[in-house]
Amino acid sequence: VSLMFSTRQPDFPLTSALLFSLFIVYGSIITLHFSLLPFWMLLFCSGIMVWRINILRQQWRAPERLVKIVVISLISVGFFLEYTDWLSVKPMVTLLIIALSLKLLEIRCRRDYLLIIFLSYFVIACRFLFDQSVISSSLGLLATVITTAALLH
Amino acid sequence: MALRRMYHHYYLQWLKKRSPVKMKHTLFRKNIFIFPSLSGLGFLFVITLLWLLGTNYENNLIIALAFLLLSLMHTCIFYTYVNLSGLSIDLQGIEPCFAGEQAKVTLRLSCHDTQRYKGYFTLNFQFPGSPMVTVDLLPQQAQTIVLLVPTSGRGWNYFQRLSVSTFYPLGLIRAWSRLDLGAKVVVYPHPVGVDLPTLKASELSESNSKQSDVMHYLEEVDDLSHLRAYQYGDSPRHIAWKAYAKNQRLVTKVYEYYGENKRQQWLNWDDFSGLSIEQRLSCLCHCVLGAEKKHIKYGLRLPNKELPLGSGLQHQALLLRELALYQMPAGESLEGGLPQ
Repeated sequence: VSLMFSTRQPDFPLTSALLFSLFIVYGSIITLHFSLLPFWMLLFCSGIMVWRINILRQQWRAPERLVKIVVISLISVGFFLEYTDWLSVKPMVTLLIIALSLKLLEIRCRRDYLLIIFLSYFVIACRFLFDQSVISSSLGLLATVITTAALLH
Repeated sequence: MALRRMYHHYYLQWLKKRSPVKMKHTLFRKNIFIFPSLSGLGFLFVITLLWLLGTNYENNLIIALAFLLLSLMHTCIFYTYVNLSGLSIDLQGIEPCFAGEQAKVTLRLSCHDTQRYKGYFTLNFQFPGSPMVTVDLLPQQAQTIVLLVPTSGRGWNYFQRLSVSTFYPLGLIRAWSRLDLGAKVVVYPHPVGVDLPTLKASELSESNSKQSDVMHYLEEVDDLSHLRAYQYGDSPRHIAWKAYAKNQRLVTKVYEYYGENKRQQWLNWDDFSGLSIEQRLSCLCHCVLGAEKKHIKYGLRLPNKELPLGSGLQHQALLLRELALYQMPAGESLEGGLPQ
């Protein structure tokens, strides 16, 4: 008999409703960054969304290793052609969005789910680095509300 | 490890003063503890990162976002606290069980404050080592839940503190309480059917009448003596259904032990000589269960005590309890179990 309790939150089931809310979060973030991303990133992100929705419909599965390698090399080529100053803010934000997108296809447990939500907050904040207008800040606030709603379960 | 045990010991001592043993607990500010959960700490980390980003780039909007998220977490503290406060938990009862089985602990949850309009959501209940049970409680209603708790050995088993916790609403804050319900239960010996080779053939041959009695059903032989026509009042258990299926006539099976001299039986400690104390208790436990199943009168003879003949579930419970507590110092169990 163990002396200690588990103080962790029990691993809640990742229902399709929860995963769908994550999909909405992702959509809102991409909308927020729409004007900043290069066109190939938009193609990539819409591809991710199509893949995600098909996983939700239980038509497709999470990408296999070969697919991952091909996609990542294509993305890297685009990345190196697009940006010359890799360590400035814009390429870094793009990199963050790429990481978030790839993570979205592989959600296995509660921790992955929370990681995506926390990353989303950060990506939303990054939008404010480029633009602090009324429209973009209210859109950012909306995205924050959507992201917080995904924390509810 | 030793340090951890020492910490645990002092923690329990401190807890004992703060929330003493009671059958019924009501949660309020004195026995509710609250702290950010793991995901809450992660959330705080994200807020820190945002704040660093905002200050480094002198970006007011990002700092505003950081404070917005911090206020969200701050609000969560109160919501999480309210989701535990006013909850009443009382111990309804514990069913005795056999060693190695899990005891069923029944708890009744209700709301202390009758004016409360809000329910309780995703409450987690757990005894150490047992699976977690998650329930919701509607306002103005009571609910009964059953927890399965593993037991250690025969005799009195004392349960450790019950943990009640909640992560409602966002999972960022964990509020919990550890309650001592004073729960204890008698655990009966593990029933074991006797394997006959341990009793020597010579003993069998020179057995007296009492011993043969025991042998009689240790072998699990239902001595079917004969069949007779069905009479009104015969138990349906004793109807030969196979015969009925064959020739459509109700026939009753008559067992030998229905004879007058076999309707009662003494279970003797000495019948199981050659076995250890625990083995004897296990065998006797098995015999008691068997005797009760056959609806005969049975009594128990232990070296220090003799329990009269009787039958029925109450009598069975009395005998099993006697076996469970045989040679047990009052208030202790065989192994493990924390006397408090």
